[in-house]
Amino acid sequence: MKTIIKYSTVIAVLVFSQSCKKDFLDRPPIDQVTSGNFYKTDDEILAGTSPLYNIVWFDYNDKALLAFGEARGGNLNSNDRTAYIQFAPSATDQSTLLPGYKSFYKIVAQSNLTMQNIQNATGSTASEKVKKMGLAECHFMRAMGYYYLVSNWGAVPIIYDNAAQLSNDNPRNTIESVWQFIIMDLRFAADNLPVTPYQQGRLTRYSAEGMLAKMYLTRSGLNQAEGSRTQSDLDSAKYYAADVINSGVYSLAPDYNQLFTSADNNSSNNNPESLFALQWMPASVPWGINNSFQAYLAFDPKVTQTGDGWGAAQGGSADLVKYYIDHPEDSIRRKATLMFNGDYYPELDQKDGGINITTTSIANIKKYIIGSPADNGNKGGFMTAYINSYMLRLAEVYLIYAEAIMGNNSSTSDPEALKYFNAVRKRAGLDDKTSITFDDIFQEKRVETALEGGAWYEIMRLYYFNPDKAIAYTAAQDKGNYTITYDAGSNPRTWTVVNTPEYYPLTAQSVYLPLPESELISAPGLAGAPVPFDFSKLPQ
Amino acid sequence: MKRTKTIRKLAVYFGVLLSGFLISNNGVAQNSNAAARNITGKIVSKNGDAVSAASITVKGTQNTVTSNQQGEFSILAASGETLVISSVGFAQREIRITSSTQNLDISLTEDYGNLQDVVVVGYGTMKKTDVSSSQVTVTAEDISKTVNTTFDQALQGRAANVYVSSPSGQPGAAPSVVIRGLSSLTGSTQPLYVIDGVQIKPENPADDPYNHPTGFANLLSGINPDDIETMNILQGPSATAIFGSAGANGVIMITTKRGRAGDSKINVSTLWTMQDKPNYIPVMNLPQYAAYRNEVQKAGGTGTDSSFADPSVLGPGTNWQNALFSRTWLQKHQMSFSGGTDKTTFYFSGEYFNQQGIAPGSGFSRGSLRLNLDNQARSWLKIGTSLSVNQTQEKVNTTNAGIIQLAIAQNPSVPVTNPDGSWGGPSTTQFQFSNPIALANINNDYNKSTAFIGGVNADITFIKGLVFHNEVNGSFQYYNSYLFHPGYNFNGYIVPNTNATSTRTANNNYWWNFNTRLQYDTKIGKHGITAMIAHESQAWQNEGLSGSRTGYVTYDNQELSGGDASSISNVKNNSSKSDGAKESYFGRLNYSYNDRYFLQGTYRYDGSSAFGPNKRWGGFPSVSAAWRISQEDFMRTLTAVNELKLRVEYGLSGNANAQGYYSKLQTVPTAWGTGFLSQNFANLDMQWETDKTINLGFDLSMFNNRLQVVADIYQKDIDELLTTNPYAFYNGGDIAYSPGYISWPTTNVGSMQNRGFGITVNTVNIANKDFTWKTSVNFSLDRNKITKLITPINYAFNASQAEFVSEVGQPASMITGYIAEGLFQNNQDITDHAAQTSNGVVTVSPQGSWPGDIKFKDISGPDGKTDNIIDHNDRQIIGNPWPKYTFGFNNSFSYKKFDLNIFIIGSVGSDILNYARYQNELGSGTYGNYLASVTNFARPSSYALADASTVTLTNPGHQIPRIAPGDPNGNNRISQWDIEDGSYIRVKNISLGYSLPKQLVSKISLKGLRVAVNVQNLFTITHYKGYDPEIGLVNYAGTIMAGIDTGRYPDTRMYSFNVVADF
Repeated sequence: MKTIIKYSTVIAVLVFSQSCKKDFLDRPPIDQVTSGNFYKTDDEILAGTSPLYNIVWFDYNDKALLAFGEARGGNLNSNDRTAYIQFAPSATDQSTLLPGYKSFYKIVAQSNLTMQNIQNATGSTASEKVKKMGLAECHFMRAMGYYYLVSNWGAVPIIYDNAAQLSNDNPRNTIESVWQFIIMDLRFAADNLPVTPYQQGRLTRYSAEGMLAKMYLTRSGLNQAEGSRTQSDLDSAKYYAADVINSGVYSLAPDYNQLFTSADNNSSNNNPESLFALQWMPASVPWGINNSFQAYLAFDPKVTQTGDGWGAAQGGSADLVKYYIDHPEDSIRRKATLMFNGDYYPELDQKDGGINITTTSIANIKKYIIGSPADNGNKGGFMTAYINSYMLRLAEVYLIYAEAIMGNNSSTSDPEALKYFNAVRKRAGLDDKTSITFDDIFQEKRVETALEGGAWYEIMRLYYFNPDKAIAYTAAQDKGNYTITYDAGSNPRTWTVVNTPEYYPLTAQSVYLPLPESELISAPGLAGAPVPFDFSKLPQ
Repeated sequence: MKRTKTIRKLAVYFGVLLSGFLISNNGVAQNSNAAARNITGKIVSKNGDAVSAASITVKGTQNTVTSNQQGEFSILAASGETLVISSVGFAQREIRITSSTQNLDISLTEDYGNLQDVVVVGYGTMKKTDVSSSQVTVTAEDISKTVNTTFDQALQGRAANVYVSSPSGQPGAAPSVVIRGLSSLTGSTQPLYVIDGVQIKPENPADDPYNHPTGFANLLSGINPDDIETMNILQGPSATAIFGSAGANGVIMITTKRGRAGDSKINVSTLWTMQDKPNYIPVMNLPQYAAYRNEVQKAGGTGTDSSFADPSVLGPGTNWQNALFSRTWLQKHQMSFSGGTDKTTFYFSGEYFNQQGIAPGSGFSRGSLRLNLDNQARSWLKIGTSLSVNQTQEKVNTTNAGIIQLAIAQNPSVPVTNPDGSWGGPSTTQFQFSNPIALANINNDYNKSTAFIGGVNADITFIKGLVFHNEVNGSFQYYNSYLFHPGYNFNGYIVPNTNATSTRTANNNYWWNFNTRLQYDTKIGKHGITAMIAHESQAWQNEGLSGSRTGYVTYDNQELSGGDASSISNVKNNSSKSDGAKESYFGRLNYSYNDRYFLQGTYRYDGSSAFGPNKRWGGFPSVSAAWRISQEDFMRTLTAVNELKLRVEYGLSGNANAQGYYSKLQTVPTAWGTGFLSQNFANLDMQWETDKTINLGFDLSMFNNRLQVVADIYQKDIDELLTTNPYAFYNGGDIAYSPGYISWPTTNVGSMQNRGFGITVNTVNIANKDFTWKTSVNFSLDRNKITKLITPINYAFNASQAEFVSEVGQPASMITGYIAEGLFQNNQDITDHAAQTSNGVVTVSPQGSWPGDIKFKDISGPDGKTDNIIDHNDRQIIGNPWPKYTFGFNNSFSYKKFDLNIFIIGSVGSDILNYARYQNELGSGTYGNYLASVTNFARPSSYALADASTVTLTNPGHQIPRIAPGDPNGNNRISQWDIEDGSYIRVKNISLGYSLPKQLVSKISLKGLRVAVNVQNLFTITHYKGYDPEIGLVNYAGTIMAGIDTGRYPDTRMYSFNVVADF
């Protein structure tokens, strides 16, 4: 009997020792990192925020950038983006509308989760500085997501804690709340980002301040009328723009055209004008770290030599072309933005001696078109152009500064305002102006940043405080087809443009994009009235 | 050993005490003083055959002997004592010893009721009459009646409410076994198999016609079906609840054969099976194809071939299906030794199995060995082992390369081989199909598995009835997968050597468990009590390593070393590792009163690594009761009723279909090195799927057990269904890959309800001395309905037109599509009808809608009303893939030494989306072939836009749309025309056997010799037009998809010859 007890005890002990180990049932994934055991060191935090500069933006950059920003902004003629050019996108559009909408909320979600993960990392040995910087990068990116959401859809739900808010019952928050949220995020970013980039291409305090200037300037007109924009917002815009300009950290690149070459604008070599750019990789695995822009817009496969180049029927709008025809002096920016019949681009398809433009049916796009991998140090590939997408560059901050100084006046001759306004023109080879109006600045910004994705957001900004003017502005834009032919032998060059005018004015109903139909099916509450956001819910 | 003696003494003391209790009931004292003498005897069956291994016990004592091979025995007994003679399959007999008793001739009568049988239940065994939960036993005899590659196939049609179907007829392919309806939407719906204590829970078979799985066989396919003694299918909640979180899909307890004391038995058997070709799907022959291509050109489509100018002069062309399928052999050779002494018994077996596929490039082979040992080491200690090793090889070219689909689609103008013997092919690569026969031969895709399944156990008996049981079980599998796809040039269809690919994958998996339980079994007066408490821990791990290279210039070295070293990529060379663990505490209490009233309660408390600390542990209770009405005094007079038992049970079981609650990170290359982003939403509150089941049933035996009825009705409410529910996108996630996306969390968001009914009727229709006829019918009906789901799960198959939906109020995975109302006859017909394209514009044009195009019905618009536009809103549920009922019907006859068995299975009321037909019946005329029915395609009187107002259909009355290059009308939408009735009745097997007379075989030193012939899949009655209506459910991209036939590898007729010899 004793033997049995002895044996049984031994067996019992064996059994229970096997399973009573506390961690027997705790089995985190072996072949993947989890959020719980990462974000503990400086390097891990930096690795945790660096994808916020590329993959999460792919769906925005892929189609929404052009469709939302430029087609609606009146700069684009495209067989592919007709609905956006005509302010008539369908709620069921799954190729552009839905991915664009999803991409902004993906940016928000990844920023939120990374933020939480950095804060909740147990046993962290990371420096306070890098921790703050990582959090600031997340806040900055989240603000960018909401900037695009509020500008395209107006009132949208504010998601600040994806785990806690995971449901289909979140209400839309008011436009005012979203703006407050954006500015709060960016102020956090400005307070916590370093003065100089931690690694080249990363955000700095001035990236956030430049963006704050842009946001304050935009919000100054919200619910206001022309001539009575919110002065405190204008002052803030001026303050932050001045701080960026005076920091000396950023400077205008000397050559406009170089801004849009791979050599001077890639993820390993950001130029001194770039305050924030999407940092694309010369590879496409996993899908989404690549810049697909050129694939859609290069007018011929011989430009890219990677099997894409589907942009034969995409180019500048008749309205944009008309500007350049009327302003032949703006030729530096013109040639870097649109390809006119008779142009020669030695940097494209170099092995065949460059490209001569023979197209007359449209002025195809040049900006961001960089050519084949062979033209770019063998970097790039199918739907993978090795060039960054600007989100904010110093030239735009200059123009923001000038407008903020002008404020609610109808024009200004302020020397500071003129100094920076004319700096932008000078690089473009244009004469100085001695007095400027809102329209001057508006037009200058449009041409300076044409096809970089921002045109619509400027119209939206105008719509905030003068909807009639914004509608009239779009109503006057010729969006029809045209032909453009080089006047043989002319020097300086001139072109003959034959228009078939078409006009698609904005209406109060088409200011905002429709919410994707599938989204409304999932969350019917989105059709309800927006509610103010309760900022006390935010974690302190 | 002094200690042992003490134990023995104690044991005897308790034994005596206990027997005292029992015997005092009868008031008959045991006369231990009466002179015991040697009683001999011989036990025979009704027809005179000796009954060996019968047990003869002196009632009330432990004095037991076993009859030998000749049925003879000898036992010490005294006058006045009673001998109890029992043997499996015979009615128990009691014979009182009188002073004159000397040499007994005992004849046992066959017992059809097997009421004395002991059946296997979860973690133990139980007398059949004591069982109060629903369970079914499938015996070795049942299994041996059909030719099965893997044992799970043998379950088909054998038990009520067990729905066995198979996604492929490829040799070795695992079937899908669903017990009592689906109990999960996204996880495995397969039952838990417990093979001598080794727990195996297979995944649902996965398939996809463009992205085939690299294998269909699983760990279970290594088991030799002939080693199985019984399969007990636990269905009732009280039976499955003891398995807690693993029991929701039902449990199949498998007991392998073990030795018996007595003479050693040697059994050798061999089986040869000829597998026939399937019935071909009718496709166009060359003249038909040529004529069709000429028509395509006329309609503005792809240009025809100059050699097709006069189709009537062309020969029949290549019959690709005929070239593909051939008659092949299946062979199985096996031997076993078993036997032992009172102390030690053994069972040893070896098997070689080889099944060639009817399509080249498929096949399955297995070699397996098993050793089961039992040893009574001490009076208080019994140890046993069940050990098996096996190796399987599965050849998978056919499915991997979609050979069968290719053979239907390849056109008849392409030759199989050229006159010089080289492989034929089309003249160019673009838009053409490759040569399926050649691919099946030159590709080399196979999987090899070497596995060990087994365990050891020890029983320590403290006192009579109190047993401490310990077992350690494990399974180990080394699974290697080999894929080699060389480059080639078939007459101009070229895959360059630079694209030749070899992929090698190695997986190591293990699982172990440690189970200890303390059981106590006693009977006090009329009160029977059995109690068990137990602990179990288990853990598993999977590891994988894979690599791939391209650039093979020769077929000779197919290993990675033969490929271009510079083709190594970090994406293709990879390793993976995962593990998991479970810990459980459980117990069972059985109480019976007077063999009439039975009560059972079980409880299991499970902890699993699949769940986070918040919801890691779950409790699974159950209770059941049974009333043996037939034991009541008032039933005594109803002598026709041998047994009537009512059962009622209720219990919980669970499903741990979880992918893990952790938030994992994905890696993203960035300019500053590898970056990390969240890959999924964590869900720390994820918990078990729970199944609450109520079951009512009865067991009835009548007329000397010649009629047996077992019937059960159940309702199973499945709550906390784990699904990956798509949320609104503002939550930041996505359902499928998009750059930087976050997978939605697996959450407990849904509920389902299964209701069903199953009945089994076994009868002995005729039982004469020479002739018996027995019938067994089972019938089942299972209904599944989703009762809660946040949003419908809607999934498109391969982004094609085939779409399925799981939504509230419907069974899972219904087939959706459009309603085809016919073909447009003329202009008026088109303009009167809704716009067929989503732009809402009716265009009567060959480049729009034209007579001969399909007229789809306008059912709804975005706001729920008809909108005269055919778009996604017009999709309807057009098919239910689940059968309305299934049945199995078995007849066995024996006449003298002959036996005949006819086994019929049926499945009625399921719908099949015949995707293979859809693909080969619709098209705009490219280089692929079409079904013969396409020769009746719609012929409009003109293809010219100018004739738009006058054009009509010249051959009305058919369903095949016109040739429409570019398909501007959208004729390729799935409609109810692509749905077929999947009902079938199949004569699964007919076998005829003859056992040679013993006197005859003994002359060649044999104890028995049986020869048998059988035909499997003799014929199938069905309206289904594909190869095989037996379409299983598959796991497609994480969701269950059922009822889609993409060109299933058919099950065909098999002719077998089988010899079994006993030495």
